[in-house]
Amino acid sequence: MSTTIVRTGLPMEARAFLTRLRRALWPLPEADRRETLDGVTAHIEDALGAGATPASVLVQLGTPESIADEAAEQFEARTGRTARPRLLNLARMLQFLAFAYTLVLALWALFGDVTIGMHVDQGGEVDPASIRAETMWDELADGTASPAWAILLTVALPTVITLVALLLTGRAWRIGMRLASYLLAAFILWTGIREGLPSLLAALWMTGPALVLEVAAALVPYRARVTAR
Amino acid sequence: MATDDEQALANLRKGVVEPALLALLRDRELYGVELAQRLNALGLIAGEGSLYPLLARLRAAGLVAYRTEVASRGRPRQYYSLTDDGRASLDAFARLWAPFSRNVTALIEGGRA
Repeated sequence: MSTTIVRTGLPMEARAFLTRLRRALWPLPEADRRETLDGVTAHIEDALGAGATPASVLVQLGTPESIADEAAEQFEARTGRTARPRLLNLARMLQFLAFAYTLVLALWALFGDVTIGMHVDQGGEVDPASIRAETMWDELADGTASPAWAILLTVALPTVITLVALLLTGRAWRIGMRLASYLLAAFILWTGIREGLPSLLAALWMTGPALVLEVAAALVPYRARVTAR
Repeated sequence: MATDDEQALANLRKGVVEPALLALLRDRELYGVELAQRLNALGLIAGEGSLYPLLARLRAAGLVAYRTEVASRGRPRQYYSLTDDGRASLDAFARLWAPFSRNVTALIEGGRA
């Protein structure tokens, strides 16, 4: 039985262990992750092949997280670099710019973009007393723009996406910035499909730079930096 | 206090696990599971899995080499051995270790140093 398992693949708990290990090794360069994963995988196969039970093999290995901690320590000893990204790094600064851009644009759209509002009666006559300059916020407040929640959501969505991406940490942060790029791109496309070319251009202008910044943040190297140790 | 003991042990291990691993490989090559089990039995690593990051660093430093042997069942197995640099590193450590361990043992056990 164990021969079959070794040949066709590892038992489920061993695969789960290796998946957890691969995740826990996330801050390390690929070559270092590979070497630790290969060593542990070969160890599990060997020990199972010798007749040990999966549970006992995994207990003897220690937790995936403790192995990953050891790998980070050895990486740091070998290279003099830290395996943990700084909280404030280039990627996060780019993300902050993306967030700041969307926030300024959202505030401008709500409070700064003045349009001329007027009341037109049934006969098509303009009431001169009703002509006034108003912002989107005024329109939302007096109910002329509706539904208010949909407009607020549309204006605030890029800001919310970039803020959440900025506040995540660890592995979720790396996944979050990629997800933020997809969501911002989807937001631009959705606006264009739903409301036509002028809105697409507006969304591109409001959200495009933030999208570029998030993509750049996902592309800059972050893993290891040289430290004075 | 078990956690205090664990911490003290972890500090002790740090300095000696590398030469201990090299010493295990002095006379013959070993494969991963053997090496892990022997270090674990000696209390020199916290779990067998933490051997592999250590091996990766020693290999990168040129102290340990490995060769892959395809076993009869067709499953490749990696055998680790000492390089010349590894042997030199072990000898250098042994020269430091003898007086160091003698002094510390004497001090801890009764101040005869």
